[in-house]
Amino acid sequence: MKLKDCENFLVLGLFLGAVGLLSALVLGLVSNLTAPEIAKAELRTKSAALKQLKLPAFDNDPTKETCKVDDVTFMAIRKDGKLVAIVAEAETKDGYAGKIRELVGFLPDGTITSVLVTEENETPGLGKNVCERKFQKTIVNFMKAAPEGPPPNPILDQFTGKKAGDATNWQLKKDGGDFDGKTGATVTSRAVTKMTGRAAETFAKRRAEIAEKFPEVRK
Amino acid sequence: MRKYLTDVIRGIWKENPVLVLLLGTCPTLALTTSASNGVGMGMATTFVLVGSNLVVSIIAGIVPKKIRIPVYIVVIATFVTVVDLLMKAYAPPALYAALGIFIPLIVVNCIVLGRAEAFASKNGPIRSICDGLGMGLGFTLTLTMLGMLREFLSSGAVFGVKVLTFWKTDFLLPAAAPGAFIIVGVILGLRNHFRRTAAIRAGKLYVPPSDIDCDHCHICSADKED
Repeated sequence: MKLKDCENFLVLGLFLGAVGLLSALVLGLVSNLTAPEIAKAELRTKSAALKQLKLPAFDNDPTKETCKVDDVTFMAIRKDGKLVAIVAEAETKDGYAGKIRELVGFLPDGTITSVLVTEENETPGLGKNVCERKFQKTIVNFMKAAPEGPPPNPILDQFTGKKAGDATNWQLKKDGGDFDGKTGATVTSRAVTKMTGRAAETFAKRRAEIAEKFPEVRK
Repeated sequence: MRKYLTDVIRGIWKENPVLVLLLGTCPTLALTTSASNGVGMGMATTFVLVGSNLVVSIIAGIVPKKIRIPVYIVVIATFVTVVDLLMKAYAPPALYAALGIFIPLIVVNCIVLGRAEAFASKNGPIRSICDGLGMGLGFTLTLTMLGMLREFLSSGAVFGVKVLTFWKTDFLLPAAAPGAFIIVGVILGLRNHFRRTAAIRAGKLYVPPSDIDCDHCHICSADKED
């Protein structure tokens, strides 16, 4: 009897099992081969994100040295072992389309260097414009290299230079706060502003807890 | 040689998976917000199509008929996971972030299983590769064209480069989901119109198939019968 017309369920099961095993072997091989490249790619993405935060020069891997306070994760940025900055990773579910995640760069004294949204799912053209730092290539300049530093974003750039612990009202102006929102994207602007405020306030008020991990933060 | 070429070209125009077979509409509508997304998704699908067609055409002779669909799905899923891993490692991060959740969904893309079942299981390896290549190219070209159209209509840019520099505020409709439906619908209508005109000019009149009339369907006559 030919295998093709086989109806014995044991043979069928064994055949399917063999195919599965073969596919698992192939996948294991490919996964092993690509694992180092994937790790490299993830590191590239992360360091590209950190580069956009206008931090001082650093040489450590910030993801290795973290400290979680409430739901904000702090990472130590070091140069020759000395703490030069702290990066906070904050998350909110108040976005117009779910989760928004951002990185906030702090100097050791609490001054915000820059804010970068790393994960969002906002409406293109409205909420996305609040979150995105994008250099728009045009037909006039597409041969030139992008200018140094993070591309400007009027909403996110408002946070630069604010100091954690100062009397800043982390709300939109229409809610009685200190920051401008974007027309048509109030929900997203509000979410980003509040999230940045939460990161800054956690940094200021819970300094003692962070200092247990990174002693240099202590005043 | 000519046979192989026909296999490739058929997928690009005569049996274009998006515009004629109307398969794989999910990535077509969801991912063509920009031209580069279209290219990325199309190339990933092409790789899976060629790989799965090749393997299926080789093993089709020994796979028991009763379990051929699960076996084909395992083959396709393997190729999709390989693509996923390769893209994670080598594709630009922005592209992977945009395509991310849609890559695993290639497994259930009807084009891939459809070609495995309808073509690869009945033809030899080389013709199957040609068919996969043709279908993949057709898919890629259509997705890229749609992506360019939608990107241009919404922001005046092509492949992320702004062509109309005076266009400051994005027009959201073509980039959003309803715009995708409208644009695909207009393209399908135009294509059918041209095909019908060409058929009439060639002397063939369009006669609707006999099962597309009111006789076999009782939706609107249901009340009368009661």
